Amino acid sequence: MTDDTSDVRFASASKRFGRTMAVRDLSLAIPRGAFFALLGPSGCGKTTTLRMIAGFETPTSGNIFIRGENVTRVAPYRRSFGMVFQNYALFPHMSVAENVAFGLKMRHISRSEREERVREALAIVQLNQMADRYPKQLSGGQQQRVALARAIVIKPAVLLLDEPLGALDKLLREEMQVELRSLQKSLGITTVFVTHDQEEALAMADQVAVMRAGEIEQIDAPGAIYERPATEFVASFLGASNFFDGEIQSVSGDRVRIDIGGSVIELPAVGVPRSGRVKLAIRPEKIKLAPAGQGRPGQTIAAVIREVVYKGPTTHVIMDRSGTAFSGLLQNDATRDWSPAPGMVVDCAWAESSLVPMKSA
Amino acid sequence: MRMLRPTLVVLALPPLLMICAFFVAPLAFLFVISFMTPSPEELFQYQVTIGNYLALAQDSFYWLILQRTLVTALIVLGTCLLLGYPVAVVVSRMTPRKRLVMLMVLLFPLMVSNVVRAYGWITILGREGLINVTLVDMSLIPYPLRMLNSAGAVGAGLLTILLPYMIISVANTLAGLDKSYQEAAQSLGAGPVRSFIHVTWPLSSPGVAAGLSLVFFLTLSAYVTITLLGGPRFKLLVSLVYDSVTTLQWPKAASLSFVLLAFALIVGALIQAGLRPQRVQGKG
Repeated sequence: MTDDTSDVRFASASKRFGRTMAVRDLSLAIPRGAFFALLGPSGCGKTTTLRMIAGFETPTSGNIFIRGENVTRVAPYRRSFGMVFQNYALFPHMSVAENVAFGLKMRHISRSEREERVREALAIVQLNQMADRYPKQLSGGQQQRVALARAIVIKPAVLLLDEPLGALDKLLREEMQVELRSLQKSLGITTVFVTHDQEEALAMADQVAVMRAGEIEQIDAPGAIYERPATEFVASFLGASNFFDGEIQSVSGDRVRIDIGGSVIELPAVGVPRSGRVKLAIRPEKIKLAPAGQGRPGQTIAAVIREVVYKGPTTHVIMDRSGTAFSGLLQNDATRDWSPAPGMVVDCAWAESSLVPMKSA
Repeated sequence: MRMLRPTLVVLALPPLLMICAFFVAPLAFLFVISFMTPSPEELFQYQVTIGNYLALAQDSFYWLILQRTLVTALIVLGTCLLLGYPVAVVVSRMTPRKRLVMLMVLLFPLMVSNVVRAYGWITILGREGLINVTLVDMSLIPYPLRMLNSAGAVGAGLLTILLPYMIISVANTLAGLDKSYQEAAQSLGAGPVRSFIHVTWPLSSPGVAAGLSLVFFLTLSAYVTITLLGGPRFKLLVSLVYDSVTTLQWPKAASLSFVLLAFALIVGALIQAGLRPQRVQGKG
């Protein structure tokens, strides 16, 4: 299989450390120009995956391609990638300009062109005035920009970001998210970044791959992966989800009737087995709550409020339905004419597309 | 400059006073003695002169010893660095547990007294020593080689004492280096050699500078090893100090001591200036 539109491709790549499989039979193509997020909890193999692109780890089996070239056995310094490390790894004995120029110097680019490109790269990250400073004289955010400039100045085929914003405070992090994304778009550089922060992945990436125990659970655009999570793991790792265990009652045409513990609901028969059990996920904010007796039958179930947690813009409501707890979210806007309280019976309603069947593991 | 907290000052005071009373003051007195006139009746005469230093400057034997001391020290420094650095790299890549064991092993020779070790070398290098006896028995040489009382013997003796200091200071610095520095260099296209030259070596300079300084200072003052293995034929600066003291030439001994100190300060400063370890140390 040759795929000209992908800058990075894994072909059944596996990495084993001793007795643990860090990455298991990974096949993945990252299209040119994409901003690709590897998301998952620690130990899921996302960092190992990134490091295999760099060549800092060699796959135990399988192959890795950068721009169509098989780089599996190619040393890191002969591959075309730029990397921003978690701690930036700026060389402390070199000035900002020398740090940025390092990659160009290693590629034997003439002094005049080097100076020109360093100036350009520093202009992109808005650090021209800092060229003669040393890394320890810079703030965390500035160091991060220098690291970025150093990685992009060599015009690599792929830019790798290892938890790039992890060391910054929350405010700066959100600012850098926007900045990194617009920079990535304007440069059009294929970017792979590793993060354990779901919000960061959703905010920045075009494509999010959720990893778990060395395997990719799902790859999708941020909207799709949040709205239509494929597995229980994805549904609960990315944001909060409620799960209902359902029993298929009958299938008629493209509709299926599912019994979720006493209430029967109807769903399109897409991604749902013909018979047996199915797990359904729904986001708390997709559940429309109303005082009992006001919901539409068929898509409504009744529940008792157990707990109410006020969170400023929203109110979280923990409910109980025949022994199963689940949560809902109310916007604290002025149009709502009722207040939830423990012990109150409410009707829960939702659009049928909000109820997502989970792939059985 | 930041003010120190009073508790810290109190804690630092006793050792500071000790150093003033038992090191700085005697050193000042020694400095004074170095400008006193030698006297046949007393240890020295209270009469200021620069004659002691002038006499040294005009003494060709002294210049020979000075030169020999410098060359020996430089050879020891170079050999320590060349042999020690690769070992330090290996040690620094070990797991912390193995590294600890390895450092203990490296320190083990230091637990044996310098005198014992020097005699050990004598039984190996001496006329009736291990090497000579073996070579003569195998008829590889007609008569024993003279290996003792030479630069080689002193160098070998010093190396076995000083190599651990070099390895340990470099290994500690290397072990503390984040491996992402080397990875960053590789990501920018630097192969192993250039990554070492441009990144690892400068980043290890604090350890190298500390190791070189330690080795140099200890070489200058390694009296036991120099005397036992160098003998009367291979004397270094420190031997002259000892000889002058034992022959009751205190002003000469004092002026030699200050030449030795100046020597240490100059080379120490050159090591700092050459390696500039402060570039990669500290924050802000």
